[in-house]
Amino acid sequence: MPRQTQLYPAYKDRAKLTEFAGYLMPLYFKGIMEETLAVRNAVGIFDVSHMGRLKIDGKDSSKFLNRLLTINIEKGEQGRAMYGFMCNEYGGIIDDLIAYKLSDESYILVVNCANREKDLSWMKSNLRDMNVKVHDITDTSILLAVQGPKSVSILNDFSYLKRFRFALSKYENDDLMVARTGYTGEDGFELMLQGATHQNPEKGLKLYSELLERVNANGGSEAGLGARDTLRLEAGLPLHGQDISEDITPIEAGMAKFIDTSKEYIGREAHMAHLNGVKRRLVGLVAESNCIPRTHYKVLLNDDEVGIVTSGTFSPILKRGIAMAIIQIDALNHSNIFEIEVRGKRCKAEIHQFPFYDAETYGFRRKQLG
Amino acid sequence: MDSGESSLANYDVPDDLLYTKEHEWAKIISEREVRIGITSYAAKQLHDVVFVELPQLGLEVSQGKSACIVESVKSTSDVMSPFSGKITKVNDELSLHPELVNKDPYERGWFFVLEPANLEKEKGNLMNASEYKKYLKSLTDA
Repeated sequence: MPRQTQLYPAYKDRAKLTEFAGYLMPLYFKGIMEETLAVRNAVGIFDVSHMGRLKIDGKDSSKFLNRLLTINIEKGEQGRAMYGFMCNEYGGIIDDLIAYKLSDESYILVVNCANREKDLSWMKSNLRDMNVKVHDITDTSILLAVQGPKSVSILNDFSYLKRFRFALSKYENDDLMVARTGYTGEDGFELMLQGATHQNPEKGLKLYSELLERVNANGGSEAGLGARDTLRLEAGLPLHGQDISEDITPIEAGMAKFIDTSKEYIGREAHMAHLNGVKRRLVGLVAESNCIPRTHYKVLLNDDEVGIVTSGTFSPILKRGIAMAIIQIDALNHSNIFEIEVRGKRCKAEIHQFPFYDAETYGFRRKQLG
Repeated sequence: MDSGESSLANYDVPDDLLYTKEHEWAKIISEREVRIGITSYAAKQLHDVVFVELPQLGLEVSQGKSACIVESVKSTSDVMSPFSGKITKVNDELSLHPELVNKDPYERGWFFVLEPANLEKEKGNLMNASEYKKYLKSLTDA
């Protein structure tokens, strides 16, 4: 039996459901295309309570996380949300996550749903004799994402927050964390409400329905995992388990800015070596029209297999097939046009920077809405 | 029943067509002409069809085997031919307007026409409208 999030009763009758990493989640409500465009042009609301939430407490919390994570957690001040990687000794990515710094002695980590158990045991095996407690708070809290250019009209009270900052607030006496973060490329917020359990989800359901009302009033939509995946791919944000994994380092993933080799952490030596040069890299590809790359399709250059598609979709904004692919550096040095093998046929695909969309028109850096 | 969408009333099943278990329909226009498409159930399951890779004219296809491909935002699916035969027409309108598969699956959203090789014999392997309705009910009640 798949698990459900605490918010499942709020939308189950309206959603086309799908199983994802052990959870029964909305794939879409009205349609992937429509919901993707609603988020790009207005606002969308997502239940992302399937994501793991881990609380780290204790005197040595900063020291502990600084050893486990690629980013320098001690440098960030309270109220910061920091994106980074947890890596193994070989530099491979165990998970990518956001660390919310409540204080030097207290953090919340939001990790990938599929990796929650693995992350927990990795953390516990690295506790040593440090004064740190790790609590899984996934089942006693909910996580909502409100994303899109109009999200700021819905969470007006938090419009002062800069990107990757958060505030601690209250929702009817329960702790509410509001962060200016997301996984869509758009401006937006993620809200974590404490105290909403499967037995007592009422406040979570109430918060969801109040926000949904405001989303609808702003021309937005409820959105499912289908739109979430399309949005993150258009924005060039990798998905762990597909584009990044324990077999790839952050440098190969083109995300070296989220590692800090000036401090000690697990995986640092491997990363130092990779900073001198890697043999393959994660890149973006835009396919010629009428070709939609999908995961595991081969990437070819002059009939040689030089890479593999890790994620692919039809982009509602570009109206083209787009993909992330891992391609050999030698091939990337020779060409920016490749072929993708699609069911025995080949189609052309060109290297494209992330994000895939025009950053002046879409995404959080866009110029004001016209 | 877990959502309004699974209600059988939402799926149109015209009486004059034959159906496959993979949710293709076939309309026998004459002994030499059978028009083929996917059902409203299939179109709803796929949702947001964004590209149809039509078969080449003259291609010989077999009953129950893939004849062409339909792509939605997140998935790629084969369209199985309800009959064996040779492709004689394809619906070029779908190249510009793949959304017709969702909007009008039985009329403007047709995929191809074939000249059947074994019409009478292969008819027996397909469902009529009332059998297909029962089949859909068994799927949506599950």
